[in-house]
Amino acid sequence: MLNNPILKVENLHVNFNTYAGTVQAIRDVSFDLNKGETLAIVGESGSGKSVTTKTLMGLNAKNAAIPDNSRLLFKDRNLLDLTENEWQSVRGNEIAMIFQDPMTSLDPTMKIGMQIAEPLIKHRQMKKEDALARALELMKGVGIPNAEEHINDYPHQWSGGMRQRAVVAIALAADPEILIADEPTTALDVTIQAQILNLMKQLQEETASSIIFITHDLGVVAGMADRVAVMYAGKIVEYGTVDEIFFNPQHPYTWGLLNSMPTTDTEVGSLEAIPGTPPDLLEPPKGDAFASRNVYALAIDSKEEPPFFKVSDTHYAATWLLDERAPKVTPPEKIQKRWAHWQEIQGQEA
Amino acid sequence: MWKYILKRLVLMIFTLFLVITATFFLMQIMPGTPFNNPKLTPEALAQLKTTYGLDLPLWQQYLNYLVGAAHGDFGISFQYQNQPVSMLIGQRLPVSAQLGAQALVVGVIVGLFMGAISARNKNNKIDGVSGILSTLGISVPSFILGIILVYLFGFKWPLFPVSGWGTFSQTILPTLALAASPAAVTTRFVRSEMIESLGSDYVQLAKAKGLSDKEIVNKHAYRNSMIPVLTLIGPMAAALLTGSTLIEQIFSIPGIGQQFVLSIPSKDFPVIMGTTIVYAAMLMVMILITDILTAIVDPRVRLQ
Amino acid sequence: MMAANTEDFVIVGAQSSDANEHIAKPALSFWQDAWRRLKLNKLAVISMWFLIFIMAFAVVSNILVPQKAANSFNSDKVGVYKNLPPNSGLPIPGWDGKIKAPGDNSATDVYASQGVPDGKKFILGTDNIGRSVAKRVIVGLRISLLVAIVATLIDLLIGVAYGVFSGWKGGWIDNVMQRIIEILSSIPNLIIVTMLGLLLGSGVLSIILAIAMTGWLSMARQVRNMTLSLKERDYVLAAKSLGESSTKIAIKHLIPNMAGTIIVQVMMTVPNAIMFEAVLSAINLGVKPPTASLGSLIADAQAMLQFYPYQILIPAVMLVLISLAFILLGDGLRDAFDPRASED
Repeated sequence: MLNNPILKVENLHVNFNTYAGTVQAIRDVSFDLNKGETLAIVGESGSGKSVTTKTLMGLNAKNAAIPDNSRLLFKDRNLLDLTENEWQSVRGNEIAMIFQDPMTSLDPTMKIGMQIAEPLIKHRQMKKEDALARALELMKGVGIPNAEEHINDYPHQWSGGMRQRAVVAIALAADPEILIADEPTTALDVTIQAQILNLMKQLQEETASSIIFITHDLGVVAGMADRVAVMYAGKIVEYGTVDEIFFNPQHPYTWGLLNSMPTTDTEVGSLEAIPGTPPDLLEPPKGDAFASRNVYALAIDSKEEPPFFKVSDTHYAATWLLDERAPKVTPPEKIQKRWAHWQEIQGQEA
Repeated sequence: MWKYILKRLVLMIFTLFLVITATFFLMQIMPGTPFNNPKLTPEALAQLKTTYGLDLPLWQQYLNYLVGAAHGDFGISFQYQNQPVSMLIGQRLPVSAQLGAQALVVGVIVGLFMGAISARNKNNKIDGVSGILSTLGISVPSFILGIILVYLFGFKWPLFPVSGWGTFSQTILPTLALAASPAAVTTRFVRSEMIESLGSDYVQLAKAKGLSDKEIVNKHAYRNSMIPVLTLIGPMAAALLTGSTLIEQIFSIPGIGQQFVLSIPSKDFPVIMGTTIVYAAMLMVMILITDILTAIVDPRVRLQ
Repeated sequence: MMAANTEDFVIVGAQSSDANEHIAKPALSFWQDAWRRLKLNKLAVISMWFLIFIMAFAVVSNILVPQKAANSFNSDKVGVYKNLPPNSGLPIPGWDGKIKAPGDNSATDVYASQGVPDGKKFILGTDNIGRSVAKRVIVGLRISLLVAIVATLIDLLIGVAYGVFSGWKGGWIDNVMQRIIEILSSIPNLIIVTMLGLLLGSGVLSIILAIAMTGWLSMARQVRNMTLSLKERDYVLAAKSLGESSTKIAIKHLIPNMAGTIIVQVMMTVPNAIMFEAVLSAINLGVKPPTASLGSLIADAQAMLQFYPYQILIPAVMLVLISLAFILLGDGLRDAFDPRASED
């Protein structure tokens, strides 16, 4: 699986020049996306996950600055070298995006069928009628009942869940190779969330596209992702397969995220929030950005940034706790349970 | 939809009835009549009163007026005796309507254009110039602009005729004077609507579809920022009515506004009342038309 | 590979005080924050100082130029003093007491030809009966500002009271009150102003009333809409459940929270009132002569526009500048109160 990356992100930095100074929103992010896999990028708001996706779509605000050594390699091209015209043939065509809020992301004055047909007219040079015919198929594909009757509807006539299906249909219209989903279910009811997630999973199996799934909610990651990257303060702090992140987490930030996530066996009242707030990226702290909120912080954390330590071939974490000189720490009780479960799985496999 | 229009029409008629009643009784308590000329003999005065039906009891005068108004008959002018008010208005209304329509069309088109250009060039020089022009446009009242235009293009560089009505060139200056304010209002409005639209999620989605800036503006941003402009037409029509009374006076245009202004010092109450009612009716019809248009153009609005 | 020592690998925990939740910026109150943003808008600040200056000037001018001085004229010497062009006493073309009549080739020194005594100069010229335009403009400015500001204050009172009452009561009362506004707003303002002008006769008070009667509608509508949304807020519900009286809630909670919107609306009402005063003057329903207002000065001078354009210039420029300043300040305040609207 690892040997077939469709997208390689290397040393990505994104800075925003604001009146108050330069905000270092993304600070050296690298990852691969393999064909047909779903990569989840998880983090709190402000961790840089949304900026990462906007960068992948070439949709950053005008005040964004990306240094020359950053690379987004997609099909032998560095996307960062593209002109605006070249970007237009990538967006919605090779890389498409599902937005967060279906209530605001559809044009209220355009018929939904037409909004789905637009990428086809643009990228497949289809005639309007053909594009609308294909849009109808797509509407059926994303599970819109009686699609024929609703192709000429306007967004305000539809519920949030139905609209998000339409947004998914727009993203899939031109058969993109990469689908970026930016918190696609955050704005929806829980039951609708599950429907949309199932839909995405099913469509991915049909089309073999790769998905980058952005979320702050580890709960939805479990069923969706093959691999997970945890972001904090503009950096990836830990990445691995979904099992490795869930059952063998190494970074204290990942521990915090998992502890703040409700699970079926969570006792009432035992959810723990991570204390404190993410650092100000106008002046990122020296060393490990998480140190100030980390109860396991080492003295070195405030002096030097931790490198990635290898846990397995697929699993890396940037925390000094993995250094051989570091003391052995006992993670929170719930993380110990997860580790124990991991030992079981490993034992079974072995 | 038809039910809604019917409801609105009923409300309109009710409002007009209130306007007629209010103006009728206001006129009764107005100080002074055009007939307190000491030279009039008692016989002549009685004769005049009979002509105008002023010898009848008040309630009968009121009923007569109401019935007449319903038929478009607003009585006879005091000032121009033997001239029915409806005839005076009938002659002059088309002139005012043409002037108002020209100004509205010019103003809205210029405003749509400038507003869109400003929004697309937000915070640069073009936007700055258009911002200055539109702010001036709303702070310079149309009659002052009219006076400026008369001075500049009538006296200083006599390029256009500055009075009268009948040829197209005579309509140019008054149209410009009247159109400035609607143009300015529309510009400011379209600019802010368009900026909001360009920053909206659906424009982000359109970008993510791979549409070019031009396609985004033409297919998404324009429509979304143009529709709300319709809501401005009601208030702008009201402003045009006010503006055109003075503009007609300045440019000696034989419109209903000039008539209105002339009838005030001469206390020509039948003309004042008739014009008032016609003005109110015109404004109400304009507001109704824009509401219906909005419902047709904007899929989100359903009339009920 | 690194300079780190073993003692660096000691657990120190989340000791940084930054770990506790805090708001990084010093907390500014709504008004301080708005003021900070307003100060960044140069045009709005200039407009504000201009308006403060003009209003202070209008107040002080009561002592410097009493109304009588501006209204009186010497009926024996109208021929000498009438229609004198502006004379600064300096050889500035167009401001030296000379005027070029249409059709003439050279400018004539009107002061000399009409036999004005030496040394007597009118910095802004005189009108058609020999009164100083400068004095008339100062008085006119005073009257126009008085009319506009008092009318706006009345609008403010009626509009806020009506709007809060309608929104707070809700139900059928709100319904009826809104229908009334709807009906009133379908009658052109010009008509209401004209009717009241006719009824009350000319004079400053009647103009103020006539203008105030039309201006409160949009204020009432906005205040009512804000009241509707504010009355569902927690702090209002809390006050209500604590048994505070409606009047107290309105004064303590509702009005302070919509003060921004109200102030912006006031800034837009004043220029409208100034303009309506001018319209009334132009249709002979304005201030009674010999009292002057900016509007009446413009209307009077308009007849002589071709020959004596200077008589119209200053009152028209004043009127436009004051409207402009109010509008620019209103724009600035709106952006300052609602930073989202002007953000890039």
